[in-house]
Amino acid sequence: MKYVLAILLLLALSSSAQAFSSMGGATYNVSFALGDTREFIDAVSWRGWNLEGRWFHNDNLSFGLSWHWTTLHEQETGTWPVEGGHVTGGQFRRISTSPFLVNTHWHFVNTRDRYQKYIPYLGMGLGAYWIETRHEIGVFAFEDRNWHFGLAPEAGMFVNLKFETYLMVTLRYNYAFKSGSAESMQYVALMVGLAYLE
Amino acid sequence: MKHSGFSKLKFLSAGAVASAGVVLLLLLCSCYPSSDFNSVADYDVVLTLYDKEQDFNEYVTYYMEDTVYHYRDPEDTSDDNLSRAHDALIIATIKSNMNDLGYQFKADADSADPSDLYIVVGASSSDWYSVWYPYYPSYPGWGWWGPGWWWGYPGPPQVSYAYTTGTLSIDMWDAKNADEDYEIVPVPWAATVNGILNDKSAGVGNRIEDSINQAFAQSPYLGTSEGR
Repeated sequence: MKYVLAILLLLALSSSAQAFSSMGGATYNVSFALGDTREFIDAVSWRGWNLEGRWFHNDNLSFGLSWHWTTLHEQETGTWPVEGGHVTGGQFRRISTSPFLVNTHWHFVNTRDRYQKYIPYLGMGLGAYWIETRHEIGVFAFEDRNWHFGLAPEAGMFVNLKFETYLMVTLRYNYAFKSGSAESMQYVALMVGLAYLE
Repeated sequence: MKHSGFSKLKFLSAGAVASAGVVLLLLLCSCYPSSDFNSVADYDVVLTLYDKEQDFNEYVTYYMEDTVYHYRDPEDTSDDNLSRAHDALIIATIKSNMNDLGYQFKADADSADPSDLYIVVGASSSDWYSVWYPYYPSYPGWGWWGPGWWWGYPGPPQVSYAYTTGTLSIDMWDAKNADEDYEIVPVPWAATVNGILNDKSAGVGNRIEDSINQAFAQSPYLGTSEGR
């Protein structure tokens, strides 16, 4: 009986002492275009970063904000169909996107292990994607800038490095919906960086 | 996790994360990559438009003058300084491609037996923008297609043209099917090479020849059954 009471007491204490209150993180992102976006630019983006903060509602659930930047670009020379014919020349295509997202995450925190090495999480972001596209053909350039509504489900993990400092690894899928005449955009970002949890 | 006894280390950890964030922010300055095109030839653009309903095998003969028409903004009163050094090369290269496609060149215009096609070669000697066809060469033996006539271009119905100085245009007029009632000359095929004739560098002759050859190469629907 005394063992049962001890366990119940331990559980009560662990659940009343919240593991984290907040998180701040910054990552470097490598992104891969998908779908129609890949038709436009079939390239890997090595230019991207992300800043985000999370505030914990309880041990597992957090709400937060994130802002990231990704630029995809590709250059090639060739012949492409256009309406009514074909065009040959050097082409440079670029998409830059800067989403501002509100997000929520579920962290798989083991409240009985205060020194948990790995903390996996799942999350979902919603928000506004600022997308700029530039398409150059020879001396001609066509630019488009639009706000899109988008969503970003993600999965990731914190890996404790030392004390409150964690390695942060996230795989985030981004989908920005069609906006007016501007096409939808989708890409997946592998984000690796540092996070500070307290 | 909470380590209340390590406030100094916590501060250092927070500083490391903040520093990483600043470094990442500095990457912002490289977030707008630009193209690596650096030679004039990298900017050559060859555009071809065509009438998808047209069977180009129906044409047999063509006529073409030994002239590259210079057209310009009507309000531009400056001198026409566009070089004619490559006119002969342009005409010869077009003629070579047309002959290879199986079309027969008719040296003489004959109103009693006109050629099927009239190849009109032009060059813009000033920058301008127009939705109108810029010049009205006559077709020997057929009279004059003057102001008031339309040129039935292929492609999108609302095509407008930005003529950069030195832009070469090659137009294939369907001379036999000019509509006298509606004053329309069908243009089943048109090619433009942007700005190339305004380049005075040594290698421009090869670029002109390559560009004209490219215009025909990217138009595999052209040609007679014998020439394809």
